[in-house]
Amino acid sequence: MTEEEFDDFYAASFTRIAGQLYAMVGDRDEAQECVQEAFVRAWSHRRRLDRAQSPEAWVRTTAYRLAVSRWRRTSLGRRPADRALGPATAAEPVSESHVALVAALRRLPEPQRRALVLHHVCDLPVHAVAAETGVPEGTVKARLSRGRTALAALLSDDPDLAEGATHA
Amino acid sequence: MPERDPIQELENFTVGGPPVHTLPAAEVRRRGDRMRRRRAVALAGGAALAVAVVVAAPLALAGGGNGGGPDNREPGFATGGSTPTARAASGWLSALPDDFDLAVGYPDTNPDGSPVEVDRDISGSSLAVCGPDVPTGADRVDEAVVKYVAPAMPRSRALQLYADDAAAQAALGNLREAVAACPAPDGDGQVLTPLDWAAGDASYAWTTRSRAGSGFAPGLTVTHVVRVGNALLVATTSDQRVEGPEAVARAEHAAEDETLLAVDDMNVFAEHPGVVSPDGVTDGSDGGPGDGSDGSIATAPGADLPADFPVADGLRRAGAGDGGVVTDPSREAAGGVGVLAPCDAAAWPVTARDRLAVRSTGPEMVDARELVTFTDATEAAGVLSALRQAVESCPRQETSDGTLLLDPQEVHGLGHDHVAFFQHSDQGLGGTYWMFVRVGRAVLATSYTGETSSTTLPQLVDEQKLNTDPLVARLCRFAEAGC
Repeated sequence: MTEEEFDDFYAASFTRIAGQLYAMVGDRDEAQECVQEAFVRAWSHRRRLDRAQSPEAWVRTTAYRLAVSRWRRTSLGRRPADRALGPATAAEPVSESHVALVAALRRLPEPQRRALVLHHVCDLPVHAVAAETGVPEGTVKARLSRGRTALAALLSDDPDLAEGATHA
Repeated sequence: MPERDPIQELENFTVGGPPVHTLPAAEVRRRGDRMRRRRAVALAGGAALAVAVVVAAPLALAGGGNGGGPDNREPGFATGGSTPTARAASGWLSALPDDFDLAVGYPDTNPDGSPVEVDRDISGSSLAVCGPDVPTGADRVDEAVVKYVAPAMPRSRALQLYADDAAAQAALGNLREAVAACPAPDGDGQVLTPLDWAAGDASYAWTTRSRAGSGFAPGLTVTHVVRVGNALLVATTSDQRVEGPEAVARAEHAAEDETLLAVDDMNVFAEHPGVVSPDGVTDGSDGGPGDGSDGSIATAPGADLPADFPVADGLRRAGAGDGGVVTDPSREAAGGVGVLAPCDAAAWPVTARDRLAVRSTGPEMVDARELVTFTDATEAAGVLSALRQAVESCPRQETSDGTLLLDPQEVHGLGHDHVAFFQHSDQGLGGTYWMFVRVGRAVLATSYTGETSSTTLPQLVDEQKLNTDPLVARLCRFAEAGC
């Protein structure tokens, strides 16, 4: 990947990947920081990027892994300044429904949330979600099914449904 | 109120909030280049190539035993104890930093919902290779292990810290030997295949698969062993469902991507970590000495060189205000020019009668010397001849970060038996200029690591000769007939 190609790739995909990661981790600022770091690593390993079937998937996966790592350290109290997946400190979203959706996603189990985002936000087919998350397609389908049900319940006005949503 | 469609909301999901302020692409590339150079200079510094190590005495098993062999058990580490803190007087870290995330890249939870946690309470570990588990890290000073426990895709990492880089290198050699000693099965059985892979100061990797009839049964385990400074990372990544060449290749690449996430953070274990100039040149001293386990860097009893021999005369020095450090002359190779092992063939350091090593480290360069003596001139000439052969037989080496090149250099007017060459990556600036000069039974080894290009290299070659001329002249005492 040449400098020009990388610059074009960066310009064209940063905001999109940051949005996807935001949906996964629920923190806009943290998502952007992790995507930024993932792009740095992408250029650092650009020969690997050339070999990757999808550079965008490579960056997204790396950014997600970095976010999980930061959250893990936060949860252990080692890096209190980190925010990923922890209490949201993001800039205010644009609308009430946006707030509700982000909050609902955050309440889903992580595998379901990631599957939903990859399939519905990133528009990946099931087999690509399976490849990116490293699980069988059947598992992806099950996560999507449970995730949709849970998300619908969490976004429902019926408090009884919302209460049991994350048990799916 | 109308019913909300969660899927529609998801598909219309946007970042929201104020505009995103990203770094300019050029800055992203600059930071990426800086990360790459840090790795490349570590390679050029020497140790990247030092993997051929033979450990005479097997490490004692310190504990554990549930690691499982590749035959019918999940790959991973058997563990058991714990340890200390901080950077030792030697300069090496003596404890793993609390904020080092060994689990980077791993999911947060195991499939059963339990958290993926790093275990620091380790008294020893072992790794399944073939046959009995191979003990690893018996003489380590600290260790951490993390496992992702999934039936079909188990993963594990052990990060071991040793007293110095030589001890870590010896542990790497132990594993390499264990893999090499695994017999190829006549029929069905485990097949271990080394991978062409390079990372950190030194590395080794292999795959484990089960032969079944004329092909392989589904499943693959990739094991990466990486040394950076005095730390050794051993990572295993398995996928029991992988089948077919393409899927195997994808799984190997995915395993490598995941391991590199941890390797990227391991510069903290280099002897002089994090000394990176604004242009991205590190102190280059990541490449400390390599193996010492087989006595290859030993110095025979009885000093041959006076302790006050002016081995540091003419050494480049950075100002103290710039963070420059010059070590006192030492008889330990650890303070010298580093490891040289073109195409994995150990070439330096070598066993010597006596040794004086010194190193000057600045923010943008490392200038190092080792003066070694041998029993006679024939032995010294043999060492130089072996060095020459090692360099000539490995003009280039493919690594995961590009091609490592060894370009021989002619030093005009030196007047002594010598070998000189420039070791550099085809990616980015910088490299190491090595020069070995023999006078009688003495050999002066020098290495200079810094930001050098093909344009400035001739000047560096000349400068290095001028800087060392006075010292070389003093070596005439080691030639029977003088100079």
